[in-house]
Amino acid sequence: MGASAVRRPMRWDNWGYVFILPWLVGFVLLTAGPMVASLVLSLTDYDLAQARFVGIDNYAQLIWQRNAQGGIGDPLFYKSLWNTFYYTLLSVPLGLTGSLLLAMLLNQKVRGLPVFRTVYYLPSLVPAVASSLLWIWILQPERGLLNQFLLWLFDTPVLAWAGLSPPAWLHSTTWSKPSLVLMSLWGIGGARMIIFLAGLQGIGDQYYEAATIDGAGAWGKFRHVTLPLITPIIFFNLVLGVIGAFQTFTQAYIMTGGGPENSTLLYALYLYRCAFEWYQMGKASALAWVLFAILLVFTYVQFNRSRMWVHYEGGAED
Amino acid sequence: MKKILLYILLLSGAAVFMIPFVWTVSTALKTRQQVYATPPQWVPRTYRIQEAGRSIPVNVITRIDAPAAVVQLAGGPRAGQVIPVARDAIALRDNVALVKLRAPDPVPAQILRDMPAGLVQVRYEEGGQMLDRHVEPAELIAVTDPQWDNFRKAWVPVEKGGTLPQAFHVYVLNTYTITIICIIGQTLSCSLVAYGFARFRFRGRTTLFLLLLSTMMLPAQVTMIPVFLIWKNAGLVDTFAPLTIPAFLAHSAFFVFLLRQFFLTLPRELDEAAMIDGCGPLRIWWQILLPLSKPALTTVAVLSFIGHWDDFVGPLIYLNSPENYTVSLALRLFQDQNASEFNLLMAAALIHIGPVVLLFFLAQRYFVKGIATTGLKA
Repeated sequence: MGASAVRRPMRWDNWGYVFILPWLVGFVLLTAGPMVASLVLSLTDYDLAQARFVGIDNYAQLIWQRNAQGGIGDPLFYKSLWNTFYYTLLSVPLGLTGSLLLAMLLNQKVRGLPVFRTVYYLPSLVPAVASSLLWIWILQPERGLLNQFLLWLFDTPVLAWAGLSPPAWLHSTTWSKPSLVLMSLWGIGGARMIIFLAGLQGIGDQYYEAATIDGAGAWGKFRHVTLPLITPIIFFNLVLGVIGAFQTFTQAYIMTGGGPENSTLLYALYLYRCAFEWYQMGKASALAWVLFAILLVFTYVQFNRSRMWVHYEGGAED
Repeated sequence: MKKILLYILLLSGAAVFMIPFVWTVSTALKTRQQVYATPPQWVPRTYRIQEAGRSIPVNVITRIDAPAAVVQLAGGPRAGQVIPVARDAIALRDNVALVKLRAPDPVPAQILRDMPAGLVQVRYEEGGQMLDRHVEPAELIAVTDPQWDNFRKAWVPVEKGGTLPQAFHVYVLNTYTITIICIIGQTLSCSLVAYGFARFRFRGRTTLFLLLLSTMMLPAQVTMIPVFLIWKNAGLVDTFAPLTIPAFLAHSAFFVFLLRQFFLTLPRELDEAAMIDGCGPLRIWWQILLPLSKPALTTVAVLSFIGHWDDFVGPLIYLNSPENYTVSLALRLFQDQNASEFNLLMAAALIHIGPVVLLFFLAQRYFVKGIATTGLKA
């Protein structure tokens, strides 16, 4: 930071408070205040008409209390949590790997690079509602492009004999979540890839030259130079990727509405329903805090574990 | 050799990434029949046949792959029906044709006409009746006939033959209004806050800045409900206020961060020189830093445009009346009412996609620059 040694009168530096005031006001009114309010709301039963303090009942009903069916907790809560874990565990690692591979491809010296970069980047720009509609059509079981392609590809007696047919994608409880993952992979050329690309371009040639002298091949260079040097970026993309995946909403809302049989009822969708369709503001607030807690634990664990695999060039700095 | 492999990878990957777009455009220009055609048509075509000197539009039903015949069933539960049957399924015994159907016993039938392989079954309307005919492929005249009208149908309101309560330009205008107000609000407020963090060493600065950065990790759901209740109690639900006012309160930690990083690269001597000339801190921001920060401000403006043009959850929560809808909400409504009209749906989706893609081509480098900053360290 280019700090100058000149010590200015205190009053000048206090102007800083004035300039950050818009954010301070916004922080209090739109973030900190609502956070407190949300915590309080989560202890109430509130349907927009009247609020009743219920203590930790919302949390109990979600997580551990016996429900009407004799099971533990709220079945839809657990279902949506499972769906979200499934989606996150599949889409984030696949997406990260895809983005990194793509960035490495686009980091080569080839002709027409700007064109390729544009082509790979464009899908990530498509608004979520529009891309959801696109993929509903591509994944349509009978006439969708993907299944027409699969049928053409596997148009053999073997397939018919084995009784195999292409999956019904969004209409199948087995394939609905993989469908959402598949669709998310269309966007691997987006922001994450560009961040990887910037990271790859920041690796000095001297590292690769040294590795060559040491007799490293292409894989050795990747394993011992590229990968260690971009671990901070992988870490950054991983943490933000999980936070993002956990909040996936629009695709599920538009494409399946949570179906079939709640197989794509993602956590954010369940929360939205509770709040804005069923007006269970207390329960929805409790859901929000459980989500927040899960993400905090995850982020904390990641930060702790990151010491083992993330290498910062030139040691830790602030 | 390695280069060739690389090109093959890049090109095939690019093809896979582009196919959904091509397919969307292709679908948007099709008629309803073409949408459901097998095999899928990339370039939508319509077919005509010449009959008695007239050119008649026809729908191609199927292509006869193996020799077949049209027969009239003379027995069994479907007696009297006229159906096409594969030649293999017909056995002649004592001059009576026996047709093997799904029933266990062959059914007697009368052969009406033979259909050699290679014929195409077409259907067309004449005098209010649907007629079937089998024609030689050469008789079919292919016409490329893109249905530009689909875009008009998607655009116009219900009283002009569309399906939405308003014409699309109402939604486009709403979205632009929100987006432009937000761009102005965000560039102004975020750059002001960034200036505060970059140039003044007040007490608690580091803590506050970390607090600001940590809000990037906060899931929106945690504050969503109370913030909604605030706007509801203020009577501002179903107005643009909840969607635009936060933009003036630097409600985007990322933009503040991005602009602060940029301000840090500008030499402090500039401010100091201006200070000596008697400039106040506000004028330094407005007259020295902002003009020098055009690339960063453009990046913020571009990313802000994308964010608000795409936004779905915000409008979904706050806007109720169709006349206030944004494009993304309108598209959702359109989907509700045209669930299986994929040609119209794709045309409407393209209306949503168009402006973003256009902006990307106009301001490509600002996208990449802004995003690449995210990954770099503070």
